[in-house]
Amino acid sequence: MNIPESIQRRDFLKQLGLASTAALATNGTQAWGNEDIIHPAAKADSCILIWMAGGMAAPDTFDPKRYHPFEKGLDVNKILSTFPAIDTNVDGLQISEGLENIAQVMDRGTLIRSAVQPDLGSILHSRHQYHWHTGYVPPITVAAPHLGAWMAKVLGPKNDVIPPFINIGQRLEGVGEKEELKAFTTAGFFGSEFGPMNLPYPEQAVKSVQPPEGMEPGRFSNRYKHFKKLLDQNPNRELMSDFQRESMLRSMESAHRLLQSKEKNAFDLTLEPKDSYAKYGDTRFGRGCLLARPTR
Amino acid sequence: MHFSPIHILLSLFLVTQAAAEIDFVHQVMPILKKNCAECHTDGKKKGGLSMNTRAEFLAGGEGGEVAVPGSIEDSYFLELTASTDLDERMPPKGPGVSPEELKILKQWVEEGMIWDDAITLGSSGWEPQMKPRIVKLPKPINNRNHPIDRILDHYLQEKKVSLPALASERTFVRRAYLDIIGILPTPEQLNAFIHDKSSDKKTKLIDQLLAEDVSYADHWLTFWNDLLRNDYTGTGFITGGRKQITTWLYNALKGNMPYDQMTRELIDAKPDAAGFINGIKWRGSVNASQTRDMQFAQNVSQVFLGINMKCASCHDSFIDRWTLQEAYDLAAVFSEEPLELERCDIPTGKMATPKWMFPEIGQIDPKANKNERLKQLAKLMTHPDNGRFTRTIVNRIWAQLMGRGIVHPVDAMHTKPWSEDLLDFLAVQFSQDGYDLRKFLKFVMTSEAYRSQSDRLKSSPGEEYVYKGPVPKRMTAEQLMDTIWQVTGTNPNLPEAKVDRSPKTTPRSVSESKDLPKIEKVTAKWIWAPDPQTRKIKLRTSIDLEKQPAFTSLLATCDNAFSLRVNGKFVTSSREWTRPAFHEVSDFFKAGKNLIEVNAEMFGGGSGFIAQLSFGKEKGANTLVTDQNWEVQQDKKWIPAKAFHKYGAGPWKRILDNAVPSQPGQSAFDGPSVRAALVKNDFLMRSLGRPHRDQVVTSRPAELTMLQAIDLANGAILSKYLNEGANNLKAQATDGQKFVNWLYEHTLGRLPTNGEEQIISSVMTDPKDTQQVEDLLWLVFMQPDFQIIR
Repeated sequence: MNIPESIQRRDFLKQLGLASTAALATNGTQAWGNEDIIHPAAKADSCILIWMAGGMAAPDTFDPKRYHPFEKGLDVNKILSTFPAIDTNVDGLQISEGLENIAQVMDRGTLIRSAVQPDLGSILHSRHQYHWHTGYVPPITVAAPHLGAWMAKVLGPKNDVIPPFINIGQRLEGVGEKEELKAFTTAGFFGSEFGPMNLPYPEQAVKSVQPPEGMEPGRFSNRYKHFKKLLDQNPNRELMSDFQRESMLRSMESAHRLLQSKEKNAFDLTLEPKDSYAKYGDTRFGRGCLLARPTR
Repeated sequence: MHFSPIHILLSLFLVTQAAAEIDFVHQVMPILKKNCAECHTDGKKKGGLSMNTRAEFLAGGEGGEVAVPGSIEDSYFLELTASTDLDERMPPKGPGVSPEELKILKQWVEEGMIWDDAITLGSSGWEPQMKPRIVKLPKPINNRNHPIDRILDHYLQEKKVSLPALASERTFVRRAYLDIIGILPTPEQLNAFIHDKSSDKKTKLIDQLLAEDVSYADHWLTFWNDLLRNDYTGTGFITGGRKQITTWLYNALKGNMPYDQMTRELIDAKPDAAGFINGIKWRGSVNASQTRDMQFAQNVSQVFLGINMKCASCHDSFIDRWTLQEAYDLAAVFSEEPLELERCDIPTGKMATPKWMFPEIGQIDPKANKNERLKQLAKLMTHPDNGRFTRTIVNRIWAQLMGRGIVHPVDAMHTKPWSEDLLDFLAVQFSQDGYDLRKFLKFVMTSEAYRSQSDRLKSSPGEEYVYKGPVPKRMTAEQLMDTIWQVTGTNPNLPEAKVDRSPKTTPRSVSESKDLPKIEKVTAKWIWAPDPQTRKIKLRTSIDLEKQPAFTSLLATCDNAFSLRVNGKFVTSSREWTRPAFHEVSDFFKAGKNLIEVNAEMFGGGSGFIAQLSFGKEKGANTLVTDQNWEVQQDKKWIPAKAFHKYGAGPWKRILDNAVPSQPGQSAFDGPSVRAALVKNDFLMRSLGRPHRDQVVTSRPAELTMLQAIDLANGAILSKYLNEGANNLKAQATDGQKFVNWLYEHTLGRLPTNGEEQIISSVMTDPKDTQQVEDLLWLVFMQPDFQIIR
C-alpha cells in the first residue's frame, strides 16, 4: 500500500512526539494568593516554544486597556487601546478585537500579564531574549543553557534518531546583534551535546538531513559504508579503543542513521499540502510553525 | 574532596529547581555555618559528629544518629538547638539558633533535608602551599634521566602501573607538530625525520618547531584567546564596551614574551592589553557579580591562580574557602570608587578594602591610587614566592600537551594533584627558566613521558585518575580546520586578526637609507598560467648578473596574493593587490645566475601577477620584468607564462604608481596561509566547540557529539572545503597510489595497509573523477586517528 507522503510526515511527527502542545493551564483556575496552590503534575513530554520576537503592542493584543479609537492628531499620551476589547471563552478574560479565533481557545492557554522587564540598556533585544530563553538575566558568570537544552538534558530525546532540541527559523544572519543572538541558543555549560540542531530556514530544513549539496544519496551511503570498512582495516584500531574514539564513532553512526532514516521526512516541508502553507502563512515564520506543527 | 565546575554549577541550579520550599544554600547553610561549623567541620568532630556533607551529618556521632530526613521527632539535633538548658544546648556558646531559624531547620528536615552532594559545609580538604617547593628528585630508573621521568617512573612504580611503551616515531612527529604549531607534518618532513640517524633528532625537531614564531603564535593563539577571553566579534563590541587584545597577544606569543611579563602587562595594563582587565561593560543594569570590578576579580583569580571567585562574587563560596569579602577586596583593587559588598545583589553596608588573598607574600596599599594598586598586584602575582601562579600555568600547559592536568579541573587549583612532586617541580623549573613558555614546552616534550604511547581510557578520566601515559586529545575546532585547509589548500584569504605575521627575516641588514626612486616607466606585463582561472600557480625566471648589484628595486603585486623568493630566500609577499610590494632588494642577489620564484594565488575573479626589477638607479639601468619569458608550472612541467595585459590595462589600471617603499619581508598583507585562530568563528567551528568568549574558557569538549557529526557528514561549510580541495588536488590525484600514500602520510602520519588500499581502490576507481577525490578526503578526515591526537 502506498501511503501519501504528507501523511507519512505527520505520522513521523506523531511518533516523535516532537510536537505535543505545551501543557498549559487547566480550566480557569485562578489564584488569589491566599488559598493552597495545587500544582498540576507536569505531563508534557515535549514542547513547542513559538517565539514571536518583535513589537507586538500588548494593549492592542493580549492586554487591552481603555478603548480610545485612533484619530488624527491624537496626543500620544492619550493612546491606550486603539481596538475595543472582546470577550473570550474564559470568563472575565478579554483580549483585543481582531483576535476572535484566539479568543475561542483562550481556555487552553495561560496569559501572563505580570512580567516586568529588567533595565538592560539600549540595544537590548538580545539581552532580553537571553533572559526569556534561559531564565537568567545576562550577564551571568557562566553560559546559561537554553530552555530547550534543559529539556534535552532532563528529558532526553523522545526518538533516538532525532536530536531532542531543534531550533527553527532563528535569524542568525545579517543582523547587528547576531553574535549576541546566537549566544543564548546554546547548551551553555551543559556541553554541546544538549545544544540545538539549528534550522534557520524552515524550507531548507530538509537540507540539514540530506546528503550535502550535489551528492547523490547512493554516493552518500556508500561513503559511509566505506568509512566503516576503513575503520575495520585500521591497523591501530586496538590501540585506540578509548572513550573518545568510541564516542566519535557512536556520534557518526547516529548522524548517519538520521540522515538515512525515514524520520528525516519530518524535516521536509515540500511534503506538506499546499493549503497548509496558506493557512500558516507562506513566510519564514509561518513555514517555521508549519515545520514544528503537531499532527492533528 | 572536589568537584568539576560544571557539576557545581549544575547543582546550584538544581537546588533552586527542587520542589522544596526551603532553599538549602540560601536559607539553611548560613544557619549551619554560623552555629555548627566551628566544631563539626574540617576535621573537627566534637562528639564524633562531622557535618562537612549531608552523608556525614546523617551518619551521626558517638550517641547515634542526630538527623533523620522527613522526621522532626527523630532529628535529635532540632531538640538540642531548641533547648533552653545551656548545658545541653547546641551551639553551647553564643546566642544560639533563633526561633525563625529553628522554623527553617524544621521545615528543611520535614522536606527531606535537601543538601546537594557537591556542597560542603567545611572548606575543601586540600590547601595548596603558597611558596614554591623545591622537590628532591628521586634516582633515575633504567637511566631515564629527565626530571619528569625520574618523578613519574617512581610514581608508576608506587601505583604498580607498568611503564608506558614509547610511541612510534611517526606518532611522535605528528604529535609534536600538532602540539607546537597546530598543523601536520608533510610526508617530506615526516620522512626526513625518520631517516635522520642522529640520536638527538627528537630534540632537534622540537627546537626547529619552536623556532617557527609565526606558526607557533597561530596555533597557541587559540589557547590564549580562550584563556584571556579575547575575540574579534561578539557581545560588547557593538557598543564599544569591550576591546580586543589581539595585536598585543599575538606579538607576545610571536616574540615569546616571558609569562611573568605577560601577566604584568595584562594586570598593570598596557593600553593594548587593557581589554583583558577591563572585561565587558554591559549595557543597562547589571547584577552585582557582573560589574567590571567583579569581572576583574573573577578573571584575574581564575586565569592566573586557578581560583574560582565566581561563587564568592555573590556569597561566601559553598565549595571552597573564598569569601564574599575576599572577592570584593580583590575587585576593589581595580575599582575607581569605594566598593560596597552586595550579597546576592543586596547591599550589605560593608565596604571592601583593596587587597588580595595572600598577604603572606605582601599586600596592596589600600591608599594607593588605582594605577599604583594594579602595579602592586601585578608585582605580587608574579612574585618569586608565588608558587600558585607558576603551578597554575604549568598545569594548564601540561594539560594541553598530556591531555589531562596534574590538577584537574585546571581551574580548581585547590584540588589535590595526582603528583604533588611533579607539579611543584615543574613550577620551580618554569620560574628558573625565566617563565619562558617555549622553553617549558621543550622541557616537557623532551621527556620520555611525552614520547610515550597514549593511555587507552575506557571513559573520561574522573577523580580516581591514575597517570598511565599521555591522554589522547581531540583536535580543537581550529586544529581541525587548519589541518583540513593545510591538506586541501583551502585556507581563507584574509585574516580577521590585526597581527603582524611577517617572519623575522633579517637578510643581512637591508639598509634603510637607500632611497627608492619612483619607477618612471613600467614595462612589465600582467602574467598568469594560460588558463586564467587557475587558482594557484608557481612562476619563475632567472637572470645572470656580472656582480652583486649595488642597488636593486623590486616593484610587484598580484591579484590576489603572492610570495616571492630570490635564490631560495623569502623576499616579500602580499595578499592585497592594491598594496604593491616596493623594496630595495640588492642584498638578495649575487654575481652569476639568480633564480626568482613566485607562488601566486587567485581568490576568484581576475588573475594576474606583475613585477619589475631595476638593477641600478640610473636611467636605462638593467631591468627584469614579467612577460612571456617567465615560466609557469603546469602538470609538473615548466611552460611559458601567458602575458594577458600590458601595465595600465585590465582591471588594475596603474596600481603600481601608488607603491609605498617598505622593507622586504614586512609588507602589510604578508603571508603564510591564514589560520583558523585568526578568522572569525563560523557555524562549523562553533559547532565543533570554539566558544563564545564572553567568559574565560580553559578546556574544550573532548568528545564528538551527534550534532557535530551531522555537520561533518553533510554540513555546507565542510562540503565546500572538500569540494574545493578535491579541485586543488586533482592533478596530484591522477598519480593514483602515490597520491593515496601522500594523503595517508600527511593526514595520519602513516601509509595505508593493504586492507585499506583495497577499500580505497574501490572508492577511487577513476582518479580523474574529482567526486571520488572528495569522498576520499572525507573518509580520511573522519578517521578517529585523524581527529584525535595520540
